[in-house]
Amino acid sequence: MSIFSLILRNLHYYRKPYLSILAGTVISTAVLTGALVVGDSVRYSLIQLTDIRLGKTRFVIESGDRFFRQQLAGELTLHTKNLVAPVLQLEGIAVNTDKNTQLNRVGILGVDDNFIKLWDTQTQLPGEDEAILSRNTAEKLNLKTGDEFILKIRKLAKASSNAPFVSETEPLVIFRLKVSAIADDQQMGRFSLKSNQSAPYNIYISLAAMCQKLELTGNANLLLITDTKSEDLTIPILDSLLQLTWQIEDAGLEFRKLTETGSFEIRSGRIFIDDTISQAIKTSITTAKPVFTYLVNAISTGNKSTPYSFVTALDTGLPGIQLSEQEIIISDWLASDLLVKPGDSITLTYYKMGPLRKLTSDSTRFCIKTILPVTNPLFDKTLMPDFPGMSDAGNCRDWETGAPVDLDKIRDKDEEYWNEYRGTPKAFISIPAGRKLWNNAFGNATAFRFKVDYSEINEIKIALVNQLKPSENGLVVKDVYSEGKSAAANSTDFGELFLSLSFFIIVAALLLTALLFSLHAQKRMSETALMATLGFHKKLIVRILFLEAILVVIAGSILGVVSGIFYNSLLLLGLNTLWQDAVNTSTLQMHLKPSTLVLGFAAGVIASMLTLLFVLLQNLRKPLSVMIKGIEIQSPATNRSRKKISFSIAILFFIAALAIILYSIISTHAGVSAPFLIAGGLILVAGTAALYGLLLHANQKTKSELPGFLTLILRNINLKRRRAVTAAALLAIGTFTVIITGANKKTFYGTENSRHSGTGGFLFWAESTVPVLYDLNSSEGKEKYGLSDETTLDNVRFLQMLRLDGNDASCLNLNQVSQPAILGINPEYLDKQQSFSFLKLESAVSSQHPWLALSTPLAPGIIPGFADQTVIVWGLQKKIGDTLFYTAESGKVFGVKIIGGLANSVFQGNVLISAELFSQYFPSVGGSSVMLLDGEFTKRTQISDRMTYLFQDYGMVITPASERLAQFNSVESTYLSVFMLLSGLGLIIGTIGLGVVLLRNLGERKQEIAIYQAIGFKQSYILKLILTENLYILLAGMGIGIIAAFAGILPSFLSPAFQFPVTYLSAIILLIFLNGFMWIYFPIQTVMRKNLIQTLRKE
Amino acid sequence: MLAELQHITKYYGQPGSSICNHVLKDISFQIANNERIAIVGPSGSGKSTLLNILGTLDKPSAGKVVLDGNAVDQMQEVQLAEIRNTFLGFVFQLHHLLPQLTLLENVMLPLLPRNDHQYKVSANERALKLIDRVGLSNRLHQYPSQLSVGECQRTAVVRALINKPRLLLADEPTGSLDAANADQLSNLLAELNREQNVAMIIATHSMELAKKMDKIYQLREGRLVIS
Repeated sequence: MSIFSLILRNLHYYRKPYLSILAGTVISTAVLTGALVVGDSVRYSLIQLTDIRLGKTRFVIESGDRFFRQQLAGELTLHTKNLVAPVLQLEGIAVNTDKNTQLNRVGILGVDDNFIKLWDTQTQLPGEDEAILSRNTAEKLNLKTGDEFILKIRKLAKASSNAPFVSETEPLVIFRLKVSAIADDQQMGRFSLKSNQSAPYNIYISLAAMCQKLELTGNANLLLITDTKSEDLTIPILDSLLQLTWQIEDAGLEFRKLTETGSFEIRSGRIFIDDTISQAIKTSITTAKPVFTYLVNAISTGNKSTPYSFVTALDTGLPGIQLSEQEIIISDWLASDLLVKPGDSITLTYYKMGPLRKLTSDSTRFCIKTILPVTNPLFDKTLMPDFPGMSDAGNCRDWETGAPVDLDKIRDKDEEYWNEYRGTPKAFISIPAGRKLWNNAFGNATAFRFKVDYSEINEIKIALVNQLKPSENGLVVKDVYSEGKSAAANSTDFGELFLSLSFFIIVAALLLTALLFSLHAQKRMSETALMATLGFHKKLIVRILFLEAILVVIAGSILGVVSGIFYNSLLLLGLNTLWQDAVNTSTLQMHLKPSTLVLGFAAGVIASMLTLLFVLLQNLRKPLSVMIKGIEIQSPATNRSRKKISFSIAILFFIAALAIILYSIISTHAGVSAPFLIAGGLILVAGTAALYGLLLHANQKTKSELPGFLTLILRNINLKRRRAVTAAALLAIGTFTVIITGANKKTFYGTENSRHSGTGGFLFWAESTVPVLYDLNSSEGKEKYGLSDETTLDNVRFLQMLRLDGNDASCLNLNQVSQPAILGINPEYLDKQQSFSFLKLESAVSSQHPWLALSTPLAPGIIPGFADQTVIVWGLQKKIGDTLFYTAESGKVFGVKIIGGLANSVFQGNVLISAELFSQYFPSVGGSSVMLLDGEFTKRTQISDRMTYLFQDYGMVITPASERLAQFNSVESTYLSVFMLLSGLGLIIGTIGLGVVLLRNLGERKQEIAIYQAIGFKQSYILKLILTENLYILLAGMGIGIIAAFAGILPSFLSPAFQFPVTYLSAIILLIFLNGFMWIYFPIQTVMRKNLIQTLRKE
Repeated sequence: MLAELQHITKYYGQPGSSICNHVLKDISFQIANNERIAIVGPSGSGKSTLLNILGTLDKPSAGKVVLDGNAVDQMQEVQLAEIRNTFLGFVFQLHHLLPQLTLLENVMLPLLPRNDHQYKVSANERALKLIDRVGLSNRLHQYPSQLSVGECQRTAVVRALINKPRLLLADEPTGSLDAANADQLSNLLAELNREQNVAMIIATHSMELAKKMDKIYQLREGRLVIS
């Protein structure tokens, strides 16, 4: 006989206990492997999704709200030798009037044949009045091929709607389209540049038709670039190719010859010329002089005033006339109107425009340097920029200035001036003075003028275009494919997540395995000792038992890996269906990586073997003389010392838990759950140790000759106290976990009015497809949008936010996000309301007025920002004090330093900065497409209805703030549900452990029970005795778990918003008890039914 | 001298405390080759403890055990295992046969730790002879569950002798047997002592068995008294 054959013989003989150990290993390995495979599967699915959403696109050139020539695509195709597709990408509202369905914030993509070529599809480009709908859009709108629907597209002009004196155009272009095809995910239906697993709503229409309808013919704002011909396209290469191919028109600039003077002028379609472009013009055309023309509300002196006049700041270049910053040249027309002469003072009154078209009036006094006839060539009508709504107006009263015009002030002579001289400036000031007065983020020049020979103009254009940088003009090259793959590869680690969620089930399975192995090892204790007496060295004995166990564990782990695959498919099924709230997609597919399966197998083997090795070595520590007898009787001294150690541990851990709780409450960390959970964990250990100590204490305590019922119970439990305490510990952990999970399920309803809650006390969160340009709290804003007459909305306050679109960093997006969307908010408003709560703040930030910290830049190019703490940690994988970098509209990179983390809020997914600082970096973001509404709770339905009605053309979606928060919380709640389900399974395993202990104990106590029967104990008394013993374990375990859990959920209790789910938790506790009771009662009944006296007879 | 106990003391609990159980007190004696010694005494007198200490299964609180001229307390676990495998043989009150092994396999079990193939071959022959000697040659491939208690105990004796130990320690070897089987085993042990050239120390209640030994020691209140 060899060692190996002995092992095989042992395995065969002890197959039953080994099969139970195998089952434990299968469970732990399956759960481990399943969790790891879920991680791979989610990551793989997200990576696959990058291909699905991008097709053959590898790089993009985006310009956002700016436009460039479509021909740029063709020119880049020539240089890159790759397909480049021009796209006009905007947002819109789709309405199916037949079915009364509407979809807001739909992605509208104007595409040509090149776009279709990016996908393996036979889809035909839609005709002029046709559209292709993504499958989800069609389903949402209840449309099929051939149906017609209304499409409202947000109209964009070249000039920013937020620039001074740019009139507000009609917000939407509306047209009826026929569905020509429905695109599935694989056939461009899921096109999106955002790394997000949620399917976007897309509508594809003909680029040419879209441009025509939006008066943007020949323009695009997105280029999609493939990389099929060569594999060496990179961002720097594309940057240099773009620099090579782009033209001044792509920067929105226009050259024109001024016929009257023969000089040339550079203008911008955006009216104001960006400072970076101004600088480039000055560098490339040294003779170019800036022109800065502005509309002033009044030019006045004394009681005389001339309304609404253009004043130009320029380098006059007039011989003999040098203007200081305080001097002004006026026309004789103005001089006669105001009755002024050189040396007199006049005052210019003008508007400056802030975010949400907030106008502030300002005025500056000037001294008249000279008066020139209006016929002087200096008074040039072409100095007036092409303000839409003004340049083409027939008379002053028809002006659409984007600023209030008091028509009563316009006199007949003003109309006459307009008729004769149009927008000819009535006065001139110096360029430095103009910049000082009218400085704005869009630029401090409206034109540049220079004299040059016509033959040189092309050279000048080339010099200028070389000087301009596409990135500084909003044309940004992005490696969307690599970014997408990277975002997916670094996405939320579901393997780690599910390992955490499955933690208890793994621990329970391992503890059960340990318990079973311990019982098995105890059973074979005398056999082990015998081998030692026969001269087997301890190492050899360990080797034999270890090899036996490892064969079982290996077999169990192999089966576990197979079961893990099945378990993973169940988890994925759950995530794609029941738990979809957690992942926001239903497209997760299984992906098996051999390395992960090997890892799962190895982890299963190692975890189980370490557990078994620990048990084995614990058992072999006993003296051989004790082991050979098969029972261990501890000396009273040992028991006393163990009791002391147990109670010391219990007291120490309990005090530590108490200290943590008190410290957390006192140090205002009461909202942070981690310390309380740690305290709960410490109480678990303390409780278990106390139980062990109490059992030892009960064993020593009674000196009376006749033990009472309770003493007898405690003595009986004490005989196998390790088993009892292990079973109780399993139950305690299970109860703790399930209660913690159950109690922490979000209970946010009913907290709407709390300013400190995640809703900030706001009633609604509103998002619109078309931005609202005016401040709805102002009378002008109310007037503009028809709110003035709405009594329901009288007391409604609006927190309007500016939004920079970006990736969603909320928990709804699984991908790792580096540049989340930015919201520009009004810090003073939130400070006044004391809205929302913070989990963490940088030390320099006032805890009393945290919001105000957003108002001041931290350093040049670094501004402060807040985000939800969960977003900072999970979405961005950052911490407080870290900085996120963005590219401003000017092409300059700036940083947003995260100085505080909000408690779970409706802002989740966004970074919050001050609206004022936002406008400095993104001046073109002209309006608010996101807002929070504050109003009377009782009128919430009416408010929602009226707002929806009034802003229907803006595609406004009004969501109760609590509902938005609930959506975020649903992710957490779903995870908690998964955790609770898995913990519940773990608890079942725990109670199986209790059942196993009980069965084993009963098996060993058959003789004892028979003796009870033989000496005349009634059957009911014996049943009561054994039942109570086991109920004691059950209740002790549950009790420890409940106390520990209550410590763990203390932060929730301290929160005024928390509603203790009494019924829910009572039901859980009752279920745990009933489950445990079942595992106790039925085995006892089975044993008691047998005639145990037979056992004695056999003896 | 084959084995020697020098001033062996064994107590459980803290010395000096009220619950300290002083089991063995300053016990010294020697065992010569082929000597047969019986240790008798009431239950709880420390017979098994004494045997366990001599058999290196337990450690004394004080004193020294010398086996084959070597002090046991200086030995490593490996050496102790070798001593138990080659020098000592154990028989307990319960046979402790492994239920998963046949009679022959149980007997051969002590050969497993040995690497000497030749020895194993010769031991196999010896095992068969010994089994035949104890009258169990027709039960070679039976499992313990198929044997009577007496047969199991005889098998345990053969197992103890398979490695030709020089000292056999038997703790109540007849304790679980009926009178007939006990008598048969007593005789067998006495005969094997001569045949196998093995010294024996037997802890027993049975004066009949004790009387078959060369010396009888009595354990009284922790002290060894020759009777």
